[in-house]
Amino acid sequence: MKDQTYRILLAAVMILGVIGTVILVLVTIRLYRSCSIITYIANGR
Amino acid sequence: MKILTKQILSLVGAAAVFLAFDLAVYNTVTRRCIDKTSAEMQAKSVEVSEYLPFAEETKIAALDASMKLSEHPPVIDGAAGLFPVYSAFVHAVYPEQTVQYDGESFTPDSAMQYSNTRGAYKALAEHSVDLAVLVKPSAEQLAYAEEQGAELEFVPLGYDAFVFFVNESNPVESLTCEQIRDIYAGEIHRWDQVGGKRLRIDAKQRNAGSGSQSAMKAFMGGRKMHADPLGFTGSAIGFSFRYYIADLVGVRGIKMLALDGIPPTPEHIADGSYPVVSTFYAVYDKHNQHPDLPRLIAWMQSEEAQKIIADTGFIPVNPSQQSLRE
Repeated sequence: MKDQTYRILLAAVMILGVIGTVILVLVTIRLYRSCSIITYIANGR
Repeated sequence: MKILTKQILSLVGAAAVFLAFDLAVYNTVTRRCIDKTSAEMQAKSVEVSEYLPFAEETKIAALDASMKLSEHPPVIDGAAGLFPVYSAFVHAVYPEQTVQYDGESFTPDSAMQYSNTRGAYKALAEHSVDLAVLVKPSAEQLAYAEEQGAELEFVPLGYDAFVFFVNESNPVESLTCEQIRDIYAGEIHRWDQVGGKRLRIDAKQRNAGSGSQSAMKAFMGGRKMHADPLGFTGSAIGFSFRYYIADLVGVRGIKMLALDGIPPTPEHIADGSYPVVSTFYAVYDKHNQHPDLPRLIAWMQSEEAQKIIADTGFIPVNPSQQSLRE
């Protein structure tokens, strides 16, 4: 693989990974704030 | 070839690190917060539309009382967990045309309102409702009422068990009252200290001013509650009222704990063996001059109203046992 192709692919993985993680964390915070204790415990362990 | 392998491994490795982190977050927190109850339950804490006083398919304990209030009855409000009780009261003694529900909420001129505990105490203090069916207030709610010139009177109507619950996979079946106080005070912080798995205890609390949070504060008897910041990695315990979680919410996957070896069954609540019960009251301002208020309060203590309380799933108040339960 050409070095430039590798760098582009690595950047894409990093960008997608960061975006996905940020979205997950934001969704989680929103859900956590509105989540009832009963739901939280029923879905837990 | 060697360089290509390294490049591919580093790409896969980077993707795997993100995936592992995201999966850990999802499994530890996100998944637990996905609420499968209806939008109405999530927004209002009770399926109001299923317990309306004059709906054809209502789930309330409908009873036609021997008395009816005037065309301008006292405005009544209450807690989520007690909505079926006061909705049945309204069905029994309020003229139907005094209650207006627009499909989402009660209209401002309706004689029945639903603001839940915090809203109802605020409305009582601000004199926008005449009466509410509630458990005891927090010190802050009481102070606010006094500030607003309201002198709240509490008439006991019935009671229910104050219960603690855990996930159904938790092997712990019973705790003592002292163990629960120690858990919430942060002195017991792992389940294996009380016969469970080797996991942290996530002692969940409600919002300040909610009925169950005020009841929990009273249960702690002055001890401060401390949350474990890493508790979310373990297994949680929560508290509520028995009727609310057993009959109103209908969520699977939780189990109520026995206290001091006594499970919170209606029989054990009624015979006084379950150790923690919470009384609920008709709450009103002593200075309220609404002409129907004394009649309504008197009726709420009558056999008819007490039957509604029992038929709904609560234990009606019994004056001869009351002093044992306060």
